[in-house]
Amino acid sequence: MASGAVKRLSTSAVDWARFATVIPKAQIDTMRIIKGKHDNFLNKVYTLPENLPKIDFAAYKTRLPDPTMADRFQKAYESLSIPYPKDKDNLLQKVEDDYKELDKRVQNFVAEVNNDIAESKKFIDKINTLPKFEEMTEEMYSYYFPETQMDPERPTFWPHVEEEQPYNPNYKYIN
Amino acid sequence: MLSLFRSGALRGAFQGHGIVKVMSAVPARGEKTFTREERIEQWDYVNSVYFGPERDMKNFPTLVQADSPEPVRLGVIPARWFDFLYPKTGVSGPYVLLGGFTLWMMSKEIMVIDHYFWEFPSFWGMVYILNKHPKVGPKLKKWLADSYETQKNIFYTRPLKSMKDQEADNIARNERLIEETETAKHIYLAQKEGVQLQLEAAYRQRLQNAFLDVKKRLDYEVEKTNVRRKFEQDHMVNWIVSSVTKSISPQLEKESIKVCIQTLKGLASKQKVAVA
Repeated sequence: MASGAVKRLSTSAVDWARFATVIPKAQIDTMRIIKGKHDNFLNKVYTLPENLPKIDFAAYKTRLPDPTMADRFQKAYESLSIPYPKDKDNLLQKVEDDYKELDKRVQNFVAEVNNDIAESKKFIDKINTLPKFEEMTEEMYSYYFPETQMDPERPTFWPHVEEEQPYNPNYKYIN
Repeated sequence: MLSLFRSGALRGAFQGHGIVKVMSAVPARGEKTFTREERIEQWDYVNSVYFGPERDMKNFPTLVQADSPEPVRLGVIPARWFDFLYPKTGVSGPYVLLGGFTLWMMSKEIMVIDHYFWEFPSFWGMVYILNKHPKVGPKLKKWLADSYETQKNIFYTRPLKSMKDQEADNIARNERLIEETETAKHIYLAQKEGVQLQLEAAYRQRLQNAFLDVKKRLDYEVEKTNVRRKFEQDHMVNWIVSSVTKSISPQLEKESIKVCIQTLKGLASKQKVAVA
């Protein structure tokens, strides 16, 4: 009779509401399929009796021709030990192993993402420490934002757009 | 020329629109894009140059562009010059100094009244008039302030805000990603519970089968007894009836019918008397 599942009948450990909020929106159908299967298993468990059902041997005793027969049946029925089914393919262990491996990858991913978040926060802090516009000279501005200034290494012709430069392959000289 | 200004034909050149935007210091050559790390590196370097330990912030503080011009007297002359002279010369001193200094320069022919002389007072006179004019002055001030604000937006506020927004978006997206990794745990729990529930269901099916089989055998026993008893009864009844029928001979039958008729007759006469 030993079973972890017996005690868990009233509640399921899976928090489906939370699951639905955390799963990526594109994969919500997968979650529905999983939940459907899970509900099937749960319903099957609910429809079957939790323990060995009682038999009214006293009633049978009066109706059976041989009263000792009922006693024999009762003794045999009560001493009946039904084995808990074995996990033949060791699926539980497989699930555990899979999760362990996945968890490792998840931890790595979370660390990476946290790193990115930290960098973003650092960058925002850096932006906030820039001098105010009123305190900047043109020169300072050029150094702080070099991409806005002309590159002396790469001079350009008027009108200073990429399409109109001689090094552009689509540029046509006027003959 | 003035009509050109009015029609806004040159606005692009001043505010940075269209093909001529290069003229307005907005570069069209922003080919290189900087990553976050490169920007931080660049800014750290520039900060170290401008605000490093060698910078004498006490004697050379950061120059700040003033929000509004300083107060003036006579429309053009800074008021602090007057404030500087008040303790030494009294209230009328600065004006006397101004007049006297002008007269002295004229007498020494430092300031000569020639054709070019009138440019100076007429220029500052126009500045004074435009400044004090109820319509032109405020409009001019507003236009200048607005264009300053526009420039600030284009060069500073908007790009920095877009950078910050981008980073904030990045943070939000990453936090959502972290939240989504929780899915792995839920799927694991669901899988584990699925296996356990199937085992449990199989176990309960066994219990159910055992119960049903035992009950079936008991019911069979009961039913067997019942059927046997019923068969025995039926057989007994049939046997008795058939033996009785067999024992009746034709002679006995006739006699019994005769007795029956006589009894009926007796009953009928009795009935007549009762009716009469």
